[in-house]
Amino acid sequence: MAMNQRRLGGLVTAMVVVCLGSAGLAFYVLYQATLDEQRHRLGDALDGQIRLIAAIARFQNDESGASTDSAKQVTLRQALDAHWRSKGFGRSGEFVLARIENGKVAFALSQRRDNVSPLPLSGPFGEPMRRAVAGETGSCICLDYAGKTVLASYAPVAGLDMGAVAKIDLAEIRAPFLTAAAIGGGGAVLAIALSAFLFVRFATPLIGSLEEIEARNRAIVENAAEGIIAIGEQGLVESVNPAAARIFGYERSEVIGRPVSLLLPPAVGEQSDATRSERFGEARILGLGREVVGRRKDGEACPVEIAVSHARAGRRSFFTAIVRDLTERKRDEAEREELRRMAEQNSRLAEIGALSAKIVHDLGNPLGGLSMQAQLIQRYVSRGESGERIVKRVEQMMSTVRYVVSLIRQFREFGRGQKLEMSPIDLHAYVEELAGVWAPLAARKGVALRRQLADGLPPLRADPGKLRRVLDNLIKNAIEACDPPPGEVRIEARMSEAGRIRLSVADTGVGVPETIRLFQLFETTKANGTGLGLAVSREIVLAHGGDIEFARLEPRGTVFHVDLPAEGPAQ
Amino acid sequence: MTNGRAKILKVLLIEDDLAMRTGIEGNLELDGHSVEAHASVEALGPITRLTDIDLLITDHQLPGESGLEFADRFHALRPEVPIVLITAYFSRDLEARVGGRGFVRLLRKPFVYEEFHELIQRMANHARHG
Repeated sequence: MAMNQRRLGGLVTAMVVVCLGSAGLAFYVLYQATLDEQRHRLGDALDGQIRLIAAIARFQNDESGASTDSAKQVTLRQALDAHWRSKGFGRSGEFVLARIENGKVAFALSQRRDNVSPLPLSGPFGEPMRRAVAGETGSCICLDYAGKTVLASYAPVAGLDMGAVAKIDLAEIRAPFLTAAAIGGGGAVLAIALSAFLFVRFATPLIGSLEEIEARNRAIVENAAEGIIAIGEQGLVESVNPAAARIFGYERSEVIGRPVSLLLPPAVGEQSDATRSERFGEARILGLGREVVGRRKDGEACPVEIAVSHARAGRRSFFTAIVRDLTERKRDEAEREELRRMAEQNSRLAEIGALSAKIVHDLGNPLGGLSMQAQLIQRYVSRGESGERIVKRVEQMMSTVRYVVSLIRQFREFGRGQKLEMSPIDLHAYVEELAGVWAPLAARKGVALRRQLADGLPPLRADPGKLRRVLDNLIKNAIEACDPPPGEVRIEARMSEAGRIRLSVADTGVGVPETIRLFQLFETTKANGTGLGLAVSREIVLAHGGDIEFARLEPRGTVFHVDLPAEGPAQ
Repeated sequence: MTNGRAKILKVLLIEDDLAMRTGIEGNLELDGHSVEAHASVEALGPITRLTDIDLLITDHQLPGESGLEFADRFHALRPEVPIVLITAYFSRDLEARVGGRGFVRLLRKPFVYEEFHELIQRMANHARHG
């Protein structure tokens, strides 16, 4: 603010000086012109007077003796006065006649003052008359007989041995100019003062708001969490905010004036073919969120994200780089990744734990049965029995063993992940075969098995065997859900959205309880269910890039939808 | 075990697993016991008719009413009858619940015939003496 006041003071002074100077110059030129004009007029009037004197002198010589010398004098004075007045030389205009008498300049005629005392031939006063009596003709600004500064024209009067001077006080000529200058100068100073006042009055709030904006911007820049670096056209750092200095481990003063390549890789512009420009030389490298590796003062690499923008101030253009320190984020990312990996491992372990418990449970059951059956056979045999009873026990054991085998297969499948062998499937043939396989069971259970396929279905790219497991599972569940009979199970296929095929299995069965988390490993509503079927199905569908979901039907029943990309999973 | 032959028991068996049910049933019958076997509590009908039962063997995990629930109901009706509860679960909760009931013996799957046989012998003696 103090600086602005000083500037304002200087400005006002300059304006005053310029105004007064130019006005003074104008007045001076005008004054000189007036002076010249007066000089000419004085000269003309002097000429006229001298000619008049000569004429009157001739006339008086012709009338010689007719009148006295003094009478002649009076006549001459009256004639000269009359002529002079006609010229109009203001208050101080005067025509003077003198001659040399007794080595002094003796005044014969002066209009403003009677009996002017003679002047010596040398001295400061009466200079024009001295020149006139000395026979010179001209004009000057000099002191008259009374010691006043005058503009005077002088000339000798030929034949009379006299000198004539026509003069006017310089003060009278100057007076209007001085008045005008006083009025004009005062007015100018007043006008300037008023202008300055108004300027200050109106500019101060403007300057204040600009200063406020600047202060605010400065505060933002100073306190920004991101580093802000201003870079000149030559790639030199012009300014950095504290955050930028902190990120790169420098003092602010250490980097100002140094090349920005000290902090950021020189190849910032060269690495990408999006730009051929050198460093920050061109606006084309501008970009948002580029991740680069900068260098700290201690030599450490420092991952940063930078956004460079181009700005122009007057004719200068410069670049602003906003730099975000990614060190912490990278570290966090690494930590999160580690945690995620551990969590994944843990959940995998938990899954394995659950799987183990499940295996123990599900295999324990049939093993107990097998033990009982085997014991029974042994006892029958030891009692000498044979035939029907033993065959029945063996069949029972075989059936249990088959169940155990299928159980183990399912576990193995779940643990292995899904490797798909894709081939195009003609859904009409595929679903027809499927329906044929399940028809006998459905009939036994009193369930009607229907299928409904949209026309023009494209071939579906999928693993036929894996997909079969999914559909087998859904159809088996659906038939079992229709207990007690009668019921209906519908298999449908249609295009759902662009490029996706929806296979649905709907039943009119008992429905799914609210509490169960279907698709979750080991979740089952069935007394002898493993809780593997839907979990495995989901794995298979996901591996195909598809989705599986279910919905409750009104008034009763459930529908499962399997949505698959017709072209197989995206690579 | 006593000198004479073990007492002939009338056993009520509830087990949904076919191999287990027929296995137990067959073995008990060979030992001379008579067995009434069902796959669920619901299949058994009204329990008030079960006045001559000497031993109840029931699986815990059954479709419908659970084995333990049924054991409680049966115990209220026939408090003198010992009960064997078969389970494949290692649940602490279940263990605690069974532990609080002196009349229930827990038989964990998987088990081999010998373990089963020994337990039934003990129960038979208990039934005879108690």
